[in-house]
Amino acid sequence: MEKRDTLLLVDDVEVNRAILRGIFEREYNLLEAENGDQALVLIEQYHDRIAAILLDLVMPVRDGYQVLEALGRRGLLSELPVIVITAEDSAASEVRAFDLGASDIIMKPFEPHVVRRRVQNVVELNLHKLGQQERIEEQAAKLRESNAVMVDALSSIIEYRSVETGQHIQRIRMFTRVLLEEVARCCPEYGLDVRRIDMISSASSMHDIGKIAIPDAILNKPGRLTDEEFEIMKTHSQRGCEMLANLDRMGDQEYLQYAYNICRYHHERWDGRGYPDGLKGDAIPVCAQVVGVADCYDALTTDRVYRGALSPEQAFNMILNGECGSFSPRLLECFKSVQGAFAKLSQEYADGTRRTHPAAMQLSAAEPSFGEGELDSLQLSQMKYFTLLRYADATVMEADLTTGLYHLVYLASSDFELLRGSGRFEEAFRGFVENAVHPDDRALALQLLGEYLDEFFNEGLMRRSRTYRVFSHATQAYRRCEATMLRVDTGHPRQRKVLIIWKDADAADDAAAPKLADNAALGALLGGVQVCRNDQWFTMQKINGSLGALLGYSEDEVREKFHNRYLELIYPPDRDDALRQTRQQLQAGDAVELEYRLLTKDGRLIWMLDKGLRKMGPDGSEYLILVLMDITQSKQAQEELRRTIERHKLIMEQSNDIIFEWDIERDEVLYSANWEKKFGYEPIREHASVRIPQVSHIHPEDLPQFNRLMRDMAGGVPYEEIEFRVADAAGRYRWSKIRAAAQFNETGLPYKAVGVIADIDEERRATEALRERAERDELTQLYNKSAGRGLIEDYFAKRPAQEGAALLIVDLDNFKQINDTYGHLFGDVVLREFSSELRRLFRGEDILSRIGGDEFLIFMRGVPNAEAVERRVERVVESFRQMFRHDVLRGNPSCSIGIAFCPGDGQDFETLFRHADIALYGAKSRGKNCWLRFDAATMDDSFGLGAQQMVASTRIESGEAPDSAAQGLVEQAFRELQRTDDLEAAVQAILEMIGRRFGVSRAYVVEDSRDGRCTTNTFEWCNDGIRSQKPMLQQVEYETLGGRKAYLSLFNEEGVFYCPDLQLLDREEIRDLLTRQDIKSTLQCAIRDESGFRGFVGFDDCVIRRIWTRDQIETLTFTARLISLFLLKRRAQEEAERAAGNLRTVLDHQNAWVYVVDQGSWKLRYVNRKTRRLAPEARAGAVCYRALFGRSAPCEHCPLGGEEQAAARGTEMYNARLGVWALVNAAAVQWEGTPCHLLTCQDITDYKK
Amino acid sequence: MSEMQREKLESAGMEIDRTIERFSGNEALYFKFLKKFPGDENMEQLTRAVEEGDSETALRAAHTLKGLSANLGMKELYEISSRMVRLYREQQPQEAGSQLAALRDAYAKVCGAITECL
Repeated sequence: MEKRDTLLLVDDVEVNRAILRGIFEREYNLLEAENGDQALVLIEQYHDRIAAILLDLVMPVRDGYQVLEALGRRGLLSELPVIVITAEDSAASEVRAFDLGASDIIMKPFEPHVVRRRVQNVVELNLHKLGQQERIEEQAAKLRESNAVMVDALSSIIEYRSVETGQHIQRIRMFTRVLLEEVARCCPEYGLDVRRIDMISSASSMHDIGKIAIPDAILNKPGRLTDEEFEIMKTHSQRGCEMLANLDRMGDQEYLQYAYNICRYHHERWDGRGYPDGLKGDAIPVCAQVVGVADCYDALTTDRVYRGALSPEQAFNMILNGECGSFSPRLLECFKSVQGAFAKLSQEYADGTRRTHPAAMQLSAAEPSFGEGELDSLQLSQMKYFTLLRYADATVMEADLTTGLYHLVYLASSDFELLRGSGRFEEAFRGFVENAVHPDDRALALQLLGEYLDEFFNEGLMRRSRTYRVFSHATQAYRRCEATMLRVDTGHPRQRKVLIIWKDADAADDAAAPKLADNAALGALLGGVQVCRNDQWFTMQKINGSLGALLGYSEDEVREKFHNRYLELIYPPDRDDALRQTRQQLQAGDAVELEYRLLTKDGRLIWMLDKGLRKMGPDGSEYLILVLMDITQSKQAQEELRRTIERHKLIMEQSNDIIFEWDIERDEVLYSANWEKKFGYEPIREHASVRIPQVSHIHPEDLPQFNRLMRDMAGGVPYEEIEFRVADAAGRYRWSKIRAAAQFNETGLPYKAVGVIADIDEERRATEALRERAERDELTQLYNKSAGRGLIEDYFAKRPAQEGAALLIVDLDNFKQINDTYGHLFGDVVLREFSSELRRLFRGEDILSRIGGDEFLIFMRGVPNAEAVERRVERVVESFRQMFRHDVLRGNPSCSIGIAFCPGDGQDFETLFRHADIALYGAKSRGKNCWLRFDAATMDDSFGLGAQQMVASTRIESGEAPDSAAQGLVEQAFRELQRTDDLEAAVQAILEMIGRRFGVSRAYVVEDSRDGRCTTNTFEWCNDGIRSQKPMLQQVEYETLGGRKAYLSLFNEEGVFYCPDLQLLDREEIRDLLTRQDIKSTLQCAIRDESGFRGFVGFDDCVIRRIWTRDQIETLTFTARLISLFLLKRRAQEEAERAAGNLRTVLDHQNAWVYVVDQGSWKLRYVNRKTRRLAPEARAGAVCYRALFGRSAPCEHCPLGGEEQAAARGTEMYNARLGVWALVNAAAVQWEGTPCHLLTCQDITDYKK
Repeated sequence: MSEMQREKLESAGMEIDRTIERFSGNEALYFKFLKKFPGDENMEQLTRAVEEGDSETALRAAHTLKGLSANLGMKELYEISSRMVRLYREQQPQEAGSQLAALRDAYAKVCGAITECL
């Protein structure tokens, strides 16, 4: 029995199996299965090696419960303990598993040590149980034995009464057993199995217990019994079985029955002449028949008072020839076979030799009988044999000349009665010859015993006939008889079994000497005709002339060298074969046909076709007439062919392929020898078309086409091939290809299909791998464009109507920039990383392909709704942003995605692609880094030429109502600014408007100081819940931010500083400052005038890292510029005013009268304070001479009227009205665009005094 | 396993030592299966099944996840999936479905930790 050293692990999840593998692989051999079906296949094959099964419950195809059920049905649960390992922790499932026969249940997650111990325990327990069963068997056997001993002892007691000693019982038992075993082998109809044989042998001990009722006087009488006494003796059978009948208390009724029968009937005889009941033939129970024979044999081979023991051969012959009464012929045949065993037993258990172990019942008929070929249908053969004998009506005797055993099988007439002598064959024969054969012929007849025999055997003759006269009682005259000795050729070299047949020869005397052809014409035939004796050398009288010529030998040479033995002319390697074949063919008939090679004198080989006929020769021996033909040429061709076929056969055997032949009518399949070698289990041979589809060895998916193949072949399709998967011994599916061709009979119907099953597993896998490579983009390992498209179109061909799908086109933004800036290697890395992300983010059934340098196409099939897709797309966008956040990349890697849904946006590849493409374009237009869904209403092919967009394209947190036209915003802002007088309020309002509209946290304006050294937050709008930063941002020095230049460098050429993620900013000071304000991202638009950077308008986001789209940035920038414009103007204005104010102050504080007079009109344009104080009437618009001097006409010495020079000098003037002397300096100036005079009058009154 | 890796995994709620024990001390094997975990289809299957209201598939997927997470020492995932399985068993698909969000979070956390440090 195989050692149970294997564990079977069944679980569909690989991890679980891996864990268990790790726990057990050192101690056990492991088999694995992924589902219940595979498990069952493996169990079928290896169940006597499996120590335990670890079974998961939840599996596809066939779950654990079903496996348990199947095992229970097949009765394997007693042999194979099952331990269920599962995550099912409900009580109901536990109960169910145990109910179905599980030995134990372990929950997941399990503790490895615990599992190991529990499994070990179960395995040991089971082994113990199985061992236990064995031990119980042993005990039962011992019990039976001791029973037998008791019975024996009892019977022996009985036997002690008679002179014979107790060994007789044992011998009878053993003879019975041996003979029964032989009978069981040859005559199955008696239904003798091991159990019955045991029982009968045991019961045979009691065959003579009836003798206890026989009086001593008779039992131990030293001489022959009288008839009376014999009658009494005969009653022992009846008495015995009566006794047994009373033992009905004995438990085993069958045993009792046997004992009864044996006891009662062991003296019955086949012809009905036995006692007590005179039963005939097979009415006698076989047990009694067998014991009868055994009893006879033993009686003959043991000493009796009136005679000594006979030899086994004598005993055998007497029984065979019916001297102890007739027995069943079949039984006698069996009896003959066990002769050796019986003889041996007689010897070993002879009386007087005490054996200590009476129960040496081990002597079975494994004793080889003399190498006789066992005929399975012995019975039938024998029947035929006897039938033939009846027909032949000849007297037939079988003799074994080695042992001297003979058996007169059939007696045609009583004339041959004498053959039935006693003792050995020779005596019997001699007796016959002396008495029944004509005296003159006796010598001839007796030749049989003498040199005849030797010659017969040594020369290898098969048949020899002699004719002599035998006395016929019927006619009281001598009749001619032909006695033929025929060798029974069993192939065994030392056997000398013959049949001797006496047949009436008076009738036809066809012993006509055969015409031994020596025709010249025939002789001319290549090789000609050759006559040989049918002995072991095929002795020739003389060699045929042309044969001799062919071989190059003369007659003399043949005679001297080869002793006229034809056999010696045959090429040595062919000799045995020629001999054997001749014998074989002659057994079946008279004709022989052979091919062999002859060796010529000069060493060449000639192939001969030998057609021969057997004939009786004049001397009573057999002769063979051979017609020989030289076939060397064609033989060589044949050889070649044979060798080629041989080669092919070898090649086929070497290969993995299996050749099969399906007999369609009988539905049977033949396979070449390597099926088992390859697959490890027996293939299905019978009822092929029914059984093959039922087993699970063929992959379920491939079963339909396999069935179709069988149907087609049976239906007349001449050739077909399919590829399919078949499980091998380990339960793994291998791809195989069947190429089958049908063969047609005369009526044109297919009766056979032959073909080859080739293992293409490796090929196929290689092909698959290649195809994968061809379909895949090399860099990213996603599908390439055509493969992806192909798959999608396949899908469309099979798509269930309601199933939704989505087609996405993903485009990496600014990829060219990345490639240019960082190199192609980096670009490749980006692509690969992105592809990995895609693979991670999408499901196994989604089709991912790369269709361009930086473009990807994704097809999702079986989507439940649009939102699911959008969410996933969002994740893609987000994840790409995240991808390189540790690297600060210029150009902000991002991606844009366009989505089209099926069936809404199209139901075929082209349409969906186009729409998705349009959507993508839209996304790009929106500033990239976003995704867009195709909207048929607003998107058409002319999109991008000013059409308005509607769909939200930014972040989730907006979720707000879609943005209204940015343009409108700008218009509004402009109007605000224009309209208002209060610029500040307008700016504030605009900031708020924008802020709210875009949902930012803060919108503000920051302006630099005049010298640019620091900057101040001048306007601020905060969103709800955002802290105001304005107070903190007053007069912030640029130095604290790392320098003005540094700060300015943050703004790009368009004057925008955009930081979506402050963490990425590498300017620490600025980052700190902004971070302190909780800013996460910021957008700042520079305010510039002709002198450069003057500040900026900013939008902060404190909530998220905001990504602005192109358009939004433009909007903001524009608005910012607008604001800055107005602001700048305002600031300039303020500046001017301040300047003017300063001037006025200067002028006002002059200790002089300063005023401006228009040249033409003498009107005052400006008057400083001192002047005003002096002359209250002096104000702008009044005429100077009047206001100041009170004159009605200009002063005579008006410094204004004169020439330039005079004015420049300075004139002393007296103002009577005011009573002051002034030194007046006049300068010609432009005052507000008109020529005027600036008069500066210094008070010199004091000096004049 | 580096400190950092250990920290990362543990902070995502995974029991490292006991799980490695379960793999008979084979750390490499443990990592191998950890790496495979994010690619496991059952989460997707479960999500889809919940969305489509397919209780049977959802139950199976949840059950598989339960077993997997148990064997790989992912405590939170195990608990939630156990709960889901139980709810499905008790014919309460709605409640079971409502666990999905929590499950996905736990799942994401674990997957995140795994992809970060492996």
